[in-house]
Amino acid sequence: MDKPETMRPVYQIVALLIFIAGLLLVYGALKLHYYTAIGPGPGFLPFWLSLIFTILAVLMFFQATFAKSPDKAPGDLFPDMGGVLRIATIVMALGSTALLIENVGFGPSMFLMNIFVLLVLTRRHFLLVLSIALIGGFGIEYMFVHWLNVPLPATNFRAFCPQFVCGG
Amino acid sequence: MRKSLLFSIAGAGMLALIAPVLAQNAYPEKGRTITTIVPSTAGGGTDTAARLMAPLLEKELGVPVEIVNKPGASMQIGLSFVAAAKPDGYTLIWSVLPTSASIYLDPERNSSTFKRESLIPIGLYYGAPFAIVVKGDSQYKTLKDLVDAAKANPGKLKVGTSGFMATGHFAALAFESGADVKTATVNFQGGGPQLNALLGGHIDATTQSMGELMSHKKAGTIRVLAMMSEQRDEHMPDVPTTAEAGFPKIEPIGSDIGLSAPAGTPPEIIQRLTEALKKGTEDQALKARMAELGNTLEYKDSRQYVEFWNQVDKRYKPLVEAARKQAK
Amino acid sequence: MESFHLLIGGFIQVLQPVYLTYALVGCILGTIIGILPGIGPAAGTAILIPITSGIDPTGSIIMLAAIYYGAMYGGTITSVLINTPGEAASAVTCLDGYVMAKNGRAGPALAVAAVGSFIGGGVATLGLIFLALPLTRLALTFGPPEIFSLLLIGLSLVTALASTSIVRALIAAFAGLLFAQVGIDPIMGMERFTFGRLELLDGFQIVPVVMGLFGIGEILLSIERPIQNMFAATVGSLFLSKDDIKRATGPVLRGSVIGFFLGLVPGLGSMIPAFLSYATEKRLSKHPEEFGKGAIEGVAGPETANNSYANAAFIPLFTLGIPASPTMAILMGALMMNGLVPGPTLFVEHSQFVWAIIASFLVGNLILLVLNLPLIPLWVALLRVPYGILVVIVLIFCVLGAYSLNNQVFDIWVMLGAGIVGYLMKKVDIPSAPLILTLILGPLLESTLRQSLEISGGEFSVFFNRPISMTLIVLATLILLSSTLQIFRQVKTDSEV
Repeated sequence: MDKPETMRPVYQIVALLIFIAGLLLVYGALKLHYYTAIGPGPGFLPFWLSLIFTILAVLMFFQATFAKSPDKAPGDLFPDMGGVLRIATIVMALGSTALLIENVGFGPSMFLMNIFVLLVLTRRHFLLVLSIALIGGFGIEYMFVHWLNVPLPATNFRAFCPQFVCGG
Repeated sequence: MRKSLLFSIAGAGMLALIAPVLAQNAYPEKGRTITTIVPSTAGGGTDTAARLMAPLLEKELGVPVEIVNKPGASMQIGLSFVAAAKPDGYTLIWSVLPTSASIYLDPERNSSTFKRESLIPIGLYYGAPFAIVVKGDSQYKTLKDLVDAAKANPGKLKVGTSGFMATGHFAALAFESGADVKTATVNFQGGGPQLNALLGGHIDATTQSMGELMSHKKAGTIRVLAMMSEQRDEHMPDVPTTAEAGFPKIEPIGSDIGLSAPAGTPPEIIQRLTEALKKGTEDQALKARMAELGNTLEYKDSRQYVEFWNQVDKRYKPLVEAARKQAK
Repeated sequence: MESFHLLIGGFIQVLQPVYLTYALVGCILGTIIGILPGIGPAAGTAILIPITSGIDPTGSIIMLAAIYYGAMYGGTITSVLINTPGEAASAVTCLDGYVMAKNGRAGPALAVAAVGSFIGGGVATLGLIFLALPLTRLALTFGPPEIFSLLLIGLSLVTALASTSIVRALIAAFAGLLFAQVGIDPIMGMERFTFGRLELLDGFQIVPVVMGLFGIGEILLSIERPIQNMFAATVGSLFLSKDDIKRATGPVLRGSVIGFFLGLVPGLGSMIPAFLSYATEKRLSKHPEEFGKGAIEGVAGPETANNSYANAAFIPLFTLGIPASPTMAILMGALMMNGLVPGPTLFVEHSQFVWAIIASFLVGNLILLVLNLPLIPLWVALLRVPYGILVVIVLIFCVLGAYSLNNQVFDIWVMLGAGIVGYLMKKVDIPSAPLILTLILGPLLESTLRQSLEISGGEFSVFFNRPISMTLIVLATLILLSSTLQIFRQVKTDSEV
């Protein structure tokens, strides 16, 4: 997508997305119990909130469409290719940490995340990367578990080993 | 050299084969930690009691006993976690009744994976009896005054609880049905706001456990009208039970906390833990502390705890249904 | 006067080397805990209870309390340095504190927070000493209707958090209120928008959302371009200038008062005082346009308010045994484990203990100030760590904090999701602060509304025939009217529809 001159199309698209989300929420809220004997029920607030949310989206759309002097789009509205890659790295690193942490433990999952992120974000000597990753993974686990009594998921190297080798 | 290496590998292999058998005899293995889950927040009643018991279990079992709080969703988070844990005796839960039971007794809660048969009860630890409480300068001097007021103005007497479907809510419902009255139940979010509203005169009465109230009782800022239990509390001999106060139909209500293990845990391990818990409850210092907290130690072994749990299921089913009906 | 004598007795006890050491260790541990994003005062005190179990009751409570207010201050440091609040109460500090750091003014931001915290803590403790009982009675007049009306004021101030467009700020605010609907509703106990996830039954946890929206969002934004240092190359003065002091005085004084009174009301939590202070300062300021662009008032007020709140919250705990916040509940548990049952008899039965603790608050707040002012250059120097490495450090502690909050992986996912949302919101210029404020206010509003109606049997008049509630509602309406006028004026100028 080409970079737009102004924020107008961006706002319009966002407003449209919010509008759709709002409608879905209104629909969801209608299925909840609206009123009880002594006052608003569980569906009361969701209904009105999502309705106002939808109206605000319409307002945002009109404001963007009819603005005489729309906001200038900043030069860096879209990240460049490298930027997209770096963002994807962080998101994936955090996602895989969440997937791994309770299986392999805090230390190993954090160690992997650190290596991954450091290699993509910085150009440092490999030894520095390794030592930061070690301290940030196993060092932190040791410190928090043994000194501070924080119950972090314990390191479990067996999880790396395929089941038919190490057994259940 | 090489031969001995081979031997040792073979030996290690043999060991690995025997290990599971050995492990059962040697539960708990040295160097391992027993993790006990508290399904509510740190600092709460269950947490405090669990933290008092943990060092005693450590002494009995010879391995560290760790407390991990997994609060949330009326204890469902912690319960489902333990229900799914490996049944090897190293992950246990401080199970709270009737809260745990209300999860599967309630037909509206369908997202829960926790069932009655997910856990094996190890032993019952203590109970926190509930009481019917009014403000110190309240016009209601006895339970009968309160019931009369509720009868005179149906649906107007405000009874506070610590939350929707919390034990206090069941207590309020048990009061309603047992005294044959209709009240306005006000469900707060936690004991703090509930107590604040009672002391501030925003509500007429509360149903709650005595833990946080011992100091208020001594100071006279609250009045305990009746204990919702079968016997008087030995620390408050002046307070009658609901039956003694003239309302034998009010069901006894209390929160009862024990230790449970995931289903499938071997009976030897359960037995070992039951014994450790029993020893722990006999500790003199613990007894004194628990008394200060308004709790009653009521050790029961695994079998008695199962029976107790079955009774809870039976007794609370109508109360859970009443809570659902009241909301509508 | 009697309390004055007792206080002197307390000081004599606390100034013994042993207790001073406990207070010092507590302050240091607390500051560390506050710095770690996610591990806030509640989790921190809970974690460290076992460490204090070997100490005598007075010493262990002195230490836990020091950990608590140390953590309340420590949270500021990461808010200012890396836009990641160490605990929820410091979220609002990010708005101006982080911008100040980017402009090379991290030093004054941290200094004003330290001094403000000290003053706020001191004022609240003095209030505890001299006015505890009358104030307790005042707090008790706050039932559900009053709390509801108070929350309405908070809600009416939400547009103060708008940056450029009121409409987009309102969208954020309503998104927050809608997110607040997730979970078991406080009315009928039904599941709402939970998609069958157990973890969502209690709704979204604030801390991972805040860490995501601010911390992770900021990281994603900053790595769009090739990594470079985010901060001004030249670091200005590390400490406060005369002008800074002049501008910060009012906010600090008002922040002390706001934090103090809200500390007495149970169930509000530490973030609402900070937000209220921020909104108040922005409304009172002669140059509201500077807020969000590094106004020192935006750091001074909230930071003072949250520490004043932290110390004031001890009043209902000590006098009534009412824990006003999760951390207070944990401290209450610690007190009870030590055989000290908080409540009306505490002052009578354990007077020596209570006054020693109260004296320790004053001593501890002073230790915190003396400890933290010299550390400021060190914190500021941290900003020179290469940005790529800083990112990794932030990520480690965000994961650690999110996980250990409730010991569940789900909160890491929430943080990551909030991070992506925060990044996108920044891109399309929708402010995230209103979302957080309403996410906190939402559940409280709904449950206090329900409780009020349960009390009145469904009569809405309950809000209008109680004087305090009525006053608060009138105030909220006035604020709302004046900001509506402002909105119309702005809509006219900003888009010329």
